[in-house]
Amino acid sequence: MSHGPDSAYGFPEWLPLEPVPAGSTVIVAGPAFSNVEELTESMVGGGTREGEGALFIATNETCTKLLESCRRTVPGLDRSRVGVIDCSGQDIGRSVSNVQVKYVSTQSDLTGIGMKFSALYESLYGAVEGGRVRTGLISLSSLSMYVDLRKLFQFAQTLSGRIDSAGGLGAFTIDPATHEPRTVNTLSQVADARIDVREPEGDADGELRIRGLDGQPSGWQPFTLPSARAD
Amino acid sequence: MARRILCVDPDDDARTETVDALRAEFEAPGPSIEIVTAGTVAEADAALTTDTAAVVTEYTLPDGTGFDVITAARDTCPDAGCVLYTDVDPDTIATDELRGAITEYVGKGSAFGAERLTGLVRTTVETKPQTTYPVPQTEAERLAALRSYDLDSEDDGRDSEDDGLDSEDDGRDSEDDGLDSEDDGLDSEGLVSSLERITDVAAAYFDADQASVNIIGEHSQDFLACYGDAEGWEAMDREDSICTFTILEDRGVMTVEDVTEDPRFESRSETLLEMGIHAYVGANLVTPAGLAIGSLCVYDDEPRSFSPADEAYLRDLAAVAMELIELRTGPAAADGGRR
Repeated sequence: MSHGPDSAYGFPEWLPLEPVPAGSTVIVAGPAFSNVEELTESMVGGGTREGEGALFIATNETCTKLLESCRRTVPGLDRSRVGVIDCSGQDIGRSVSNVQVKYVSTQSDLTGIGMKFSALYESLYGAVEGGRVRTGLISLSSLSMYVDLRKLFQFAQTLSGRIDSAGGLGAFTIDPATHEPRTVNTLSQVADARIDVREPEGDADGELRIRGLDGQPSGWQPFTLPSARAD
Repeated sequence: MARRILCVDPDDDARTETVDALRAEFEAPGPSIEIVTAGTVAEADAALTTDTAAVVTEYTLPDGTGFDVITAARDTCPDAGCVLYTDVDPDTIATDELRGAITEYVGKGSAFGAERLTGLVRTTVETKPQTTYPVPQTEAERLAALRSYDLDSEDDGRDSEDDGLDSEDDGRDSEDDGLDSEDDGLDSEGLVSSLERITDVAAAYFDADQASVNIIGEHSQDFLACYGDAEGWEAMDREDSICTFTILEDRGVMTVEDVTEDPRFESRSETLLEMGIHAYVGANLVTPAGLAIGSLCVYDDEPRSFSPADEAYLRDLAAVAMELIELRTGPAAADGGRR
């Protein structure tokens, strides 16, 4: 399946989302246990099944844990198209088969995370058809424990600028319950749209609602992941 | 208004190649761009001005590194986007010396290097992604509206160091637009004294020691009329201004009960407290087209709260201030044959 550089990014069949225009960044907001991170893994990793690149910035989770989770949330993940910036400070230098990994020793080093993100983005951009790369930042909330809001805003906006400039897709997660509304509102301004995630009322793994983009389903939509992590 | 791109590379051929690629990118119609060059940290330092929009720098320089250039840029032109354009592998660069400052990175040797660089510099110049504050979605229209009121808000006398440079485009110093003439423009004497009466009234209502009418330009906040110690304030970088957040407010008014407790301002609260700003209320100066060009603000040196009635009062007063600006300087005044 091939896509031109400017065509919209579609999502796996299990997500109630219509394609999102190239160059967009979306904030994915939800509390712990709402499967917000698993949803983001699906949104970003799902593209590798169609030949796109997936770049994860894993802030507080090791690359190994992230890939383990992706095995459940993205069946058919093509690891050869995956890049990970591991900022967990653990497992530094450990090689992970088939996946490009760069390590940053601490989440407070936004300079290092940003530069390694750019370098890895470039590498994936050159390796995949049409330069189509999706970026998942998991999570802004974790980074906010290490740096002040203004630095974090600058970092997140620089990432979304890079994604915009390269015609990519970005999904940045945040847990609104751990921040003041002013913080969430400020960080949300780096994005074109916002997906809110909440715990489901029925059997689904979660419910999502997307705002800020045309042509998307309106209201809360239940979603079920192939095999969610939450118990 | 010319925007400056600074290109720093000690290698003459590489620098020329980069400049040529950037020039080709910006040849298409758009904001006028001036490209200046430097080969060392010292030359780069001298070439930075407040209107530098982007800095493209090698990492290895004869008298330091690209990080020294980026550090200097963050000081002189904090809104500028910085791009490290180098062969050096980011894994081998110790990033802690930048202490969290953000830079883009593009590998010079990569097959996509030059193409990615020019696209990224274009995005950087057009959307300012490396600012530490959000800008309104209507920023371009907002700045155009501000210019229509005849104040070049960037012309605050701070960028006087743009001399002796390796400039590749002459004539840029003529951008004053002839704005600050004595009898029109936002800082005309008559308008300022009218606005000062408004700041007096606002300060009296809130029983506060300081109040001001501020204009938010592209990179700076200018104080148009002030009451109290605010009279001694000079233009400040936009990233340090509270009002740059106020102009984002749909409600047209914003309060900060305690700057030390607000996540948006806590990292700058020391400077704000030194200015006597512990609590803040600001209401926007909104043009007839709905664009906020600045704010009417009141500052308290103690933490305090503001009631909905307080907010409504200040919003009304800001509307009066805007009417005065319209009458004295706006497009309507020009149409009325004042000039």
